[in-house]
Amino acid sequence: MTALATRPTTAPGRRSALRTLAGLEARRYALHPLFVAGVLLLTVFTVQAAYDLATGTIEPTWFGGGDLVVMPAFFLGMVGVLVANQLTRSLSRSAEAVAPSPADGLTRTAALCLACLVPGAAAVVWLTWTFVAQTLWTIPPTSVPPADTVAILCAGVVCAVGGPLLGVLVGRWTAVPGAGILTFVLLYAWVGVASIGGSTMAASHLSNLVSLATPFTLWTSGGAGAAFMGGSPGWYLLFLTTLCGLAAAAALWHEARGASRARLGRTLVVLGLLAAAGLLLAAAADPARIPL
Amino acid sequence: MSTPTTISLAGVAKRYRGTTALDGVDLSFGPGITGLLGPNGAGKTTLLRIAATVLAPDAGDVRLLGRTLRSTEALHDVRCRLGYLPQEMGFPRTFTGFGFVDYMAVLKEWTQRAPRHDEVRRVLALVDLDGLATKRVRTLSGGQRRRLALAQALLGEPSLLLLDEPTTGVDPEQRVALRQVLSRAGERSTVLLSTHQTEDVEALCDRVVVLDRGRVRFDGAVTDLVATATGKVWLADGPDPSARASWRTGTGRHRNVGEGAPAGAEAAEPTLEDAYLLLLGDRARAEGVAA
Repeated sequence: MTALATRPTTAPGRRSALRTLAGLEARRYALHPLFVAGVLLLTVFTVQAAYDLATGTIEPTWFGGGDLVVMPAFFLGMVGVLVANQLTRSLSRSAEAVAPSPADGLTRTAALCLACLVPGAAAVVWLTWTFVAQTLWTIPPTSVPPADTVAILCAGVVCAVGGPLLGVLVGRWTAVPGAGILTFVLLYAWVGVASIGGSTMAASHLSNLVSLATPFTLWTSGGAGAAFMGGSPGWYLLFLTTLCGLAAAAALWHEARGASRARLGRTLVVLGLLAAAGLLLAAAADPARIPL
Repeated sequence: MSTPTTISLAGVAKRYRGTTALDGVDLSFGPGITGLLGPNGAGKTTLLRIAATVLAPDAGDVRLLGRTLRSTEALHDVRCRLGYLPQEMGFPRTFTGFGFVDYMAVLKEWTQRAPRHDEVRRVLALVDLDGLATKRVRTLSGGQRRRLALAQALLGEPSLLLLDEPTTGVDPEQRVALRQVLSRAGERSTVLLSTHQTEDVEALCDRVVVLDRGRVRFDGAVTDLVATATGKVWLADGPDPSARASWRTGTGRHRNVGEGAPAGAEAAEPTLEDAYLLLLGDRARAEGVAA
């Protein structure tokens, strides 16, 4: 028997195993070709928008440049659905060997959820750049309240985490091949229909609800006479954040047993109520649109 | 001195949609290598899956390393000392050999990077894959993948090593090398080896359990099972219609396994395969012993 084979004598504990596994999953996430492609595209479009702002090609507003805020939601969040789903399902073919591991399904799922902070970190870098850009180019304030602006930009970061969490959720609950791609397509269709539907309806609480009951939304109506949509970005941010929590809790719930499962069940109920409250409060705000 | 019991199964039963996989099996195992033989569907894989904590029995008691598996802590502790090679194992497409075993080591809670990597290199060297560690798994041959699957089971020199057909698809030279690895593991661990390769059992195991339709048909020393075929194996110039099994060998003579000696036959040294054929009779012949 060799000394190398001696397993560490002190039990590392679930937290330590989770930390190591999360690090490994984060590395896999960061090196995933789709994530790398998403980051590259986000960078290209962001730099392009900044250049356009600097040269005056586009209106110097926060929401110029093709709805800047949607970019992290799409390139990190939507693409993250595919990335996280693939990572979650990647060991399904080795499931029989993985099953009797000391690190149980709950730990493995928690590690995957923590790895979703990787696109979140990339989105934070993007957010920081956006604030810096505003300072560099002294963009004049718009008629949109500054707090709403900040909430919308932060929503982009939350979407960058929420998409991957949805990918983990789908990966845990379905073993159907292509479920990640199908989720991506359905999500894209849902956001498109809701955004277009909401903006074409007359301003009302109902139009607010239609355009906000989505995992991410456009806050401006495009074209000539662009306007800032009604509703409350602050409450919408709460709604999105609780959706992230719901996705993580539902993925964990699938793997949990006994007391943990009951605890997660209660968490799901609370988060569900908070999400509903956030959405209703966001839609209940003034539906009037602000011309940009 | 009696050897400690590390796996204890009492009245263990398992059914799959009306099919009985295990039917009230009572078995206990201690350190050493035990071979599990039986036709397809005999319950070997189900037994291994239950011992590997992958599957819960419908009835009966299972104790591993002296512990029942009723608490999460007990399950966790047992799993820390368990290595399992499933019958069929796929691999993530993008992993390298090293990356896969490293990932499995993390799942086995080797949390410190340096000793983990040393251990991964050690088990890859044991299965002679250290030179291919950086190759993607999808580029490895079937036999190399089988050895990679075995490597992850060997991580941490587990006290319980449960191997479901470990040498399937492995070339003869590598099979002999793997026998050396497994025989060393059997010196300190309880090794259960499910296989259709009777020569592996004969070469490695001191004990053999033969399962058939979820029941134990034989449990004893390999030599005892082989001895049951003494005087029942014959070499003759032609096949014996009354024999349980009969085939033409490379020398041109026919090997007949059965009760009576055909005319002009000479007695042959029985093998484990002969004894197995005699024990299970027509069923073994129909399934093919060396599938």
